[in-house]
Amino acid sequence: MRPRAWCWLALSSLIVSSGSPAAVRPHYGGTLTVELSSAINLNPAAANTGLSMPVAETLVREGSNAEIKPLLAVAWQHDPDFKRWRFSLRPKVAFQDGEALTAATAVPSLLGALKPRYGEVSIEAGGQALVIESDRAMPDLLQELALTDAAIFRKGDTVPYIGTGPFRITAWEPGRRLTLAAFEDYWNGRPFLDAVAIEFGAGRGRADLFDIPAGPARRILPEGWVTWSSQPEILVAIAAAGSDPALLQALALLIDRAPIGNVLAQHKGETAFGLLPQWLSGYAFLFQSSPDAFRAKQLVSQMRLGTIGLTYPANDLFLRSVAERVALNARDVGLSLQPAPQLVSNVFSVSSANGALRLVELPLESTAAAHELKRIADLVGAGGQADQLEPAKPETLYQLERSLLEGHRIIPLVHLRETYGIAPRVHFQTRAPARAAGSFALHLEDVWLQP
Amino acid sequence: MGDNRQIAMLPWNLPASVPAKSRVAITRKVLWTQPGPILDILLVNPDSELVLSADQLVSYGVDGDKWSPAATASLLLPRPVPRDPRGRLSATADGFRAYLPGATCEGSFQPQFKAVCVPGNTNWAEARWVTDRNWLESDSIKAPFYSTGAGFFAMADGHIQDRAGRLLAGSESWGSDIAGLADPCVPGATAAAIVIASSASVERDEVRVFETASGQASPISDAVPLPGPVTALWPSGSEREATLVVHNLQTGEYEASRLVLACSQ
Repeated sequence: MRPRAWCWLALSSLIVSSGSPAAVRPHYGGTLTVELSSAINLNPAAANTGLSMPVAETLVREGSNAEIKPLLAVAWQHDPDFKRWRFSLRPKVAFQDGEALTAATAVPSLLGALKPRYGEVSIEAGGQALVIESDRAMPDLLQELALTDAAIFRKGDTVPYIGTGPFRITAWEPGRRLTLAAFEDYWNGRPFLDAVAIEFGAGRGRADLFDIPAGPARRILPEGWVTWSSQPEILVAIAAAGSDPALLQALALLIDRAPIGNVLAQHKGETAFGLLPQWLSGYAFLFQSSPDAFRAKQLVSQMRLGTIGLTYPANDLFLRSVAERVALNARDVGLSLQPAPQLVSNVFSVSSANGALRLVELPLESTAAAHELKRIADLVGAGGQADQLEPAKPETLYQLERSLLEGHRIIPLVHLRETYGIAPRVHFQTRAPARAAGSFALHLEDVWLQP
Repeated sequence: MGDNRQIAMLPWNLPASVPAKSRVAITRKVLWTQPGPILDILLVNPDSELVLSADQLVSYGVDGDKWSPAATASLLLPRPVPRDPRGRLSATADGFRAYLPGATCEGSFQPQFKAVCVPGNTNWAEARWVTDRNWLESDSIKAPFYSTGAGFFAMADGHIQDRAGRLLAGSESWGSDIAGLADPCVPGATAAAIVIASSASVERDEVRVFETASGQASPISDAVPLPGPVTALWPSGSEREATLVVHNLQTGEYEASRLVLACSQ
């Protein structure tokens, strides 16, 4: 079972395949039932997870062109060195238990999110104003604050988290189900749905909306249902922070990615030669290459290698099939790889013991290419290489990505889409959703059910 | 085979999409466009109009050949505006009144342009908003509805029905916004024309006039395609005119228009 960020809907970028009935206004009421093949992680402290927009909100958000827009903060300013930022909070915002949002209530969440990124950072709170200060320049602070793990929340007595978003948690059984209810006093207008009931690992096909994971299992949609697919946004890669770079180089040469994307993923993804998908970086095609078994064989012949483990998260059928496929390619050049399931608590960690190879899934956190590349660099232990990165200069992005690929600590295989089946009674307020960074955004609060 | 014949009976509805006659012409004249939703427009006089948005009222005056903002009044509402924002403007003896779900705002032009909002839903005509919702209620009909016109209601459950609950045949393609207008070809007749927004397209609506007789709706105009979905449709001061707001998908702006019916025979 693949743990996943529970921002699954709010952040999913989806391609519209259908819309609402003509000229019909959104209808209030009803419970949206959802089935997800894998669990979501509510823990905001876990890497790449966080409270999603339906329950908790961030100070700012990314707009349709990755520009920063107000959310819980309505205004901000910074000093010339980017070391001191002042934010004004939106007035009349309440948490889901009725407590007013103030600067003081926002501080603990923000400190938790910012300290790992900026080290010694201090936050002063006064009324509706927040001042964030650090000895280090924070030019990308707004982008960091737009990430879901910078969401503002409080821990509750009866529910895990209390936020300011359009839905509140009413029941949470980890790994089994999550129930949300409309927050009647949501500052941006009560959502149309009364409730959302999400079940994990169910797969019975009785829900209004369910995910269709990549992999061998096929699911036939009932008549009238539509599918929604995201942009390719989950990087599947082989990582090995402690492995021999020559081994990784040989692997990069021997793997035939086309069958992984076309056959194993059932076209729910694109073969990946770069770390960022083409739609995000614009230059991924430059890394494209063909398998070179001859050169790989040469490299392997120069190494004295026994059987090498290739681990994948247990119960992830897709990654298992990928591991088996890679092992097959490796055998063709005389390399013995042994796929091995592994219980993992955090799929986003790429560190591995004894230099073993590991199949990982890295979902995008945002549509900020620089942020994503830095995150991957950190994950593979090459964070130092990101120091030269200047987000405004695309060439530095390309140079960093190229450097990471040539460092052979991570081998991209495929970028997966997320695909959902949606019942005919499910509609969205925006019949022509705004284009968001090359994709379409879908938000639970915009969903309504036909009576 | 032979004498072993079987007879199947299938339901058949009178098709509504075949116009018997297109005797009414619709003219659409754009009054105002802006980036945010327009809930309603009130033409105060030929040189002055009021535009109701979700959080403010703006008074515009004619400046040469274009409208220019003359004054703005913020609306301090007791509740957040619903996600599908709706509102209605009406003129009063000494100013105007804005009706929004959960609040009613009394406004004046003099001595200063302002609007004071109080919690609660006040009736206009015979309907009132429901707090935190995008629909209306009335003492004369049990269930909530989105709009009403010529004795029919566009119900929140998607049906078009009369006050007694009888469904209107031929209205299956209608949307949630209807308005009752006078038939321009039948002088002195009671309101017999209905402007509807309906469309075979997912993203763009269209507007059309129907007449109703014996529980059956029949189109009496051609469909006028619109540049996006309709977000508001209200009868205006004149019995042959309506205010229409469309979210123009090409410009991204909200476009308020005046619809005018004329007899084309």
